[in-house]
Amino acid sequence: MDYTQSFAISSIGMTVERTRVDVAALNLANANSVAGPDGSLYKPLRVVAHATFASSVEQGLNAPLVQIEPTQQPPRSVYEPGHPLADARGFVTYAGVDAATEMVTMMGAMRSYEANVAAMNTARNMALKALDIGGNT
Amino acid sequence: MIDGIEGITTAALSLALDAASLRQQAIASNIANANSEGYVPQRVNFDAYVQDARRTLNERGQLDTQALRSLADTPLVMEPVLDGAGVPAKVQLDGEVAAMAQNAVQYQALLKGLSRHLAVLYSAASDGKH
Amino acid sequence: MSTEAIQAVAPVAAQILEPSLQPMAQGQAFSTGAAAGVQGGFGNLVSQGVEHVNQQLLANQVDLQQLAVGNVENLHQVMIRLEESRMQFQLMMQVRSRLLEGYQDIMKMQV
Repeated sequence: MDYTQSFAISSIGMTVERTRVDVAALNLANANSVAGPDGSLYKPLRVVAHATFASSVEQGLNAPLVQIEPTQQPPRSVYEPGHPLADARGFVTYAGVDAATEMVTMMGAMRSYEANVAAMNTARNMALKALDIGGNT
Repeated sequence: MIDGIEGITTAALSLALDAASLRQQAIASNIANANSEGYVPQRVNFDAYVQDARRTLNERGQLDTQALRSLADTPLVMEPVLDGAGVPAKVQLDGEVAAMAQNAVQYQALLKGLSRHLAVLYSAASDGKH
Repeated sequence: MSTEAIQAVAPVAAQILEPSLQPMAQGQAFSTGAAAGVQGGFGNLVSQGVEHVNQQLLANQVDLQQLAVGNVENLHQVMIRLEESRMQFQLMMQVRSRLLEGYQDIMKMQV
């Protein structure tokens, strides 16, 4: 395997982790959004890396490797009778975003990103050391 | 163009070094303008540039003067990076830094190969004495 | 060069050239006992050695051209081959220098 392929593989891995952080940040930003009068509510998103991820990474393809899909977490209902958007029983529906899960996802993505960067640096150092074969002259 | 195979190799390596330094300029420009409004990222399309030479190398086993001449006559320019819809893409900073690291390794490999190649010729020309 | 001079130099040179000629057919006149056949055998030896080094150097050129075009399949393999052929080339240059020195020494001898 040549070093250009190693770079491409690590690059794809870093893109996936960055997408994961972006999605977690989006979920956190919408954590306290309320269901509108027409019933539309923010559904927390999740990044799914498919099983074909491994093989397409090996071939270095640029296929869409991850999918961002809404989760099916149930929304939170909070009893606030004075809220302008409360329903008939006085409950307000907030988006079902679990802040702890999002924070853990972000920390995991950060560590994976660092691991990908370490892998890329190692591949680069190995290639540079291979150039040293035969001494300096 | 020199017809001997050493001359062909030297010329091919120097063209590849030109392409690597142009790629470095494109990457540096992208990194510097990462947050500029309306900036279109540039890149060097090396694969299209060497497509014919690669085919000649696979078919004949080595480059010849004709392939090298056509390579030298084709200008190598930077082109804008467009995403799927033809809209200018955004600058991905970590992708640019990774490309810069890879380009640096490629440049060093080309330089090492060129200096080893010339060292053999030099030792032949100087009768084995240093 | 007289036959005796070549017979004197040939065993030593054959010893030096032997490692680089391993892939060749071993049936060549390596044995120093074949006095009459050494002269033709030694000439063949030298030219085969030179041809082998030349093939190595040509393969190196192709490797470097692959690198220039962007096929970096195995960088370490390319570097190892470059170094091997550089050493073989220097070895061949040393053999040539020693042969020339021996020839000049002999030519300096008073008749």
